[in-house]
Order: sequence, then structure tokens, then C-alpha cells
Amino acid sequence: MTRVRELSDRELQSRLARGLDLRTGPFLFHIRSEEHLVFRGLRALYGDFPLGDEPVRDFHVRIRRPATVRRWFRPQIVFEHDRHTPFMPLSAAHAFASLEWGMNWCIASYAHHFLTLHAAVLERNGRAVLLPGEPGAGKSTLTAALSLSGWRLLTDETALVDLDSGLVWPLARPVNLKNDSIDIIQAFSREAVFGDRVFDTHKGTVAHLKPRAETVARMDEPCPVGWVVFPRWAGGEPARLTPRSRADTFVFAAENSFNYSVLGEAGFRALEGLIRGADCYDFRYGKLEDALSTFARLAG
Amino acid sequence: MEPEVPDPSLTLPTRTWRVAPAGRMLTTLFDGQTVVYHPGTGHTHWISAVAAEILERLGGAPMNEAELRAALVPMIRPDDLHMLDESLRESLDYLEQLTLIETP
Repeated sequence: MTRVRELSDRELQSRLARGLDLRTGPFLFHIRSEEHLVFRGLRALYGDFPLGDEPVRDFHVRIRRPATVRRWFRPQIVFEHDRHTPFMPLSAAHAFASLEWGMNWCIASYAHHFLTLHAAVLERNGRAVLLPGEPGAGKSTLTAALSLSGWRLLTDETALVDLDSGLVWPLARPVNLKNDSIDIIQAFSREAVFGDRVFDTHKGTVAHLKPRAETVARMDEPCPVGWVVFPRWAGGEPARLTPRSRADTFVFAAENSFNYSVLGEAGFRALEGLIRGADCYDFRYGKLEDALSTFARLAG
Repeated sequence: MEPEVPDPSLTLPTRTWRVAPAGRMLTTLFDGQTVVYHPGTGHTHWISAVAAEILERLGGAPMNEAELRAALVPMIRPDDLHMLDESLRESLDYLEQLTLIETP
């Protein structure tokens, strides 16, 4: 099995121009782009990922310049999926971030053989913690810190729940950090490897954290959910874990699913099984170190 | 002394209710709290024990409010019976607002 890091720069660029088959968790993406920033992002963050050799790909995506004057003047790029462009053009400086967001969109929009929840997932000692949360709650920062502290990252964005087994499948893709979180994680661990910072996006400044090699090596290992924890960063407060009702957790998770209502009864049963097998908590924290201690105790 | 129980015919209108014909509703119970999935809207709701009981009763057949009240009496502690009418009214309003039930 060939991995991205085994390709020379020229090979990687050449494959990207023709279409690079990249496997991430259960999905095979066919990625085309001649944008240098896409090449740089894949080189920096996807080195440990395997290339696919199956004839059937799940998603065909492309980052390309539009066929307008904006190809050259204040250049823009568009994200293309199966020759459709679901989003407005963005600055060419956002090429790699657009690929990441577009890949998320593909999974959320089409992977209906899973129940997909808007949540991060990490594993330790054979059980996963699912971290839903509203934007700004500190979910990605905590996810990044946990992934650099002995927890295996399954996803920072989209939890894939198997409709039959209830296990969560990894995606193992980079963690998308925004604004102050980038410096916080950079200072938190010398092992943190980032791609390029991208400025002035609709989310502010973003940068992607490279997943650890072990995370990628184990991206075919699904995991049962042991805990559902709703994090909330609260500056100055001590870390505090308080039980949360399963019924309330169910409703929140359903409302923050990408395809729960599409799946109907199958989605309801999958979520029911997941919540029934998990302990549910609200979690407030003011310091990452305190949060990590709390999670270490949780995992036992 | 028995708590005073108002005559339902005097305190409640006698509207008849039924489960909305939107397909099979799904329910599950977590630690005494009921979650219900409404296939018509695709939404999931967390409802009270009284509302869950109403939904279950109406799942069998349409009932008027007096019948519902009579069916709920055994699940209410005698000391709390004075709250039954208010609880029934709130639950019916909430279930109707969620379009889980309707009047024929």
C-alpha cells in the first residue's frame, strides 16, 4: 500500500493533476487540483494516508480556477463535486481549506449508510468519547489537545455511526482550528504539526493540525462510544463534569445530525443504542491541563 | 379525607384528540424520560411522563379529554390530583404544538 509521503513532490503534483485516490477512513476520495496550496496541504498533513487502488471511488472532487477573469485577476477557486459546484468561489488563498470543507460536505451530504453527527470523537482504552457542541464551545481546541495527549482521534467534525453495530468509524482527518486556538495548540505541544495558516476566511484564520501517524494507521478500527461530553470553555473556571440527561442528549444529538431525519427509524435506533450505552455529561473547563486530567480519569 | 377532584366536564372542553396520521411514531425511554420521533416532521422531542402517557393512549384510539383525564388518574398521586387538569391541558397544548396530535 502506497502512502502519500512515499510520492516525490513531482509524483504528487502529477497525480493531483490527473486525480489522486486518497483513502480516509471508509471513504475513497478522487482529488484533482493543480493548485499549489492543495499540494502543500496534502504534503504537510496527509503524508501517512494510504492511496487507494480500488476502481470505484466514493467521491470525485476538484479544486480549480473558475472560467472567468477571476482565474487571473484576484484569483479565485471553486470546489467541484461530480462536476457540480455547490459553493460560491473563494479566494485562491483558501484552496486547501476549501478542499477540507468540501470533503466534509461530501460526507455529510451523501454518507447515508452511516448516521452522521456533528461531533468530534476520540478513543482511549477501547472506548470513545463523543464531543458534540455548539460553535465556539471549545470543542476543536479540546479535541486537538486530547489527540496530542494519548487519545486516538477518530474525527474532529463528523462522527460516523454504524447503523447496525452502533460503532463509530474513524475518518482520521486533520483537525480544523480557528483563530486563538491555533496558537494555544501550537504552545501546548511541540508535536503539533500544522499546515499553512489561511487568513480572512468566513471562519477567521484557520489552520489544520496533522493527525498523528497512529491515528491514520488505525483508521480501519471502529470503536464503541462510552461517553458523550458537551464541552464548554469557561475562562477561569475549574474543570467540572456534571451528569446530563440521556433524553436531552438524544434530542441535541438528533438536532445536530446531518442526516438523522433522512434515515428515519434507522437513525433513531442507531442513536438510541449509542446514547443508551454512554454516560452523558456537561463539561466546563478553564484550562486545557485540567480538562486533560478530567478526561484521563474518565477513561480510567 | 379524599382530595377534591373537579368534575372534568366542568373544567375541560370535551374535544376529541388523535395521534397525527404522519406515520409510525417512535418512542424510547431514558431514565424515566421519554423521547419521541415524529416521522412527519423528522424532529425528535423530549416529552413529559404525562404527555408520553397521552400519546400512548391516543395511539390505541382517539379519546376525548374526559376519557384521557380518567385514564391518567391512576398514574397521579392523590395529593397531586388537583394539578391533573393543568398538566393535561399543558401536555395537550404541547403535543398539538409539536403536531404529534390533532383534533379530527
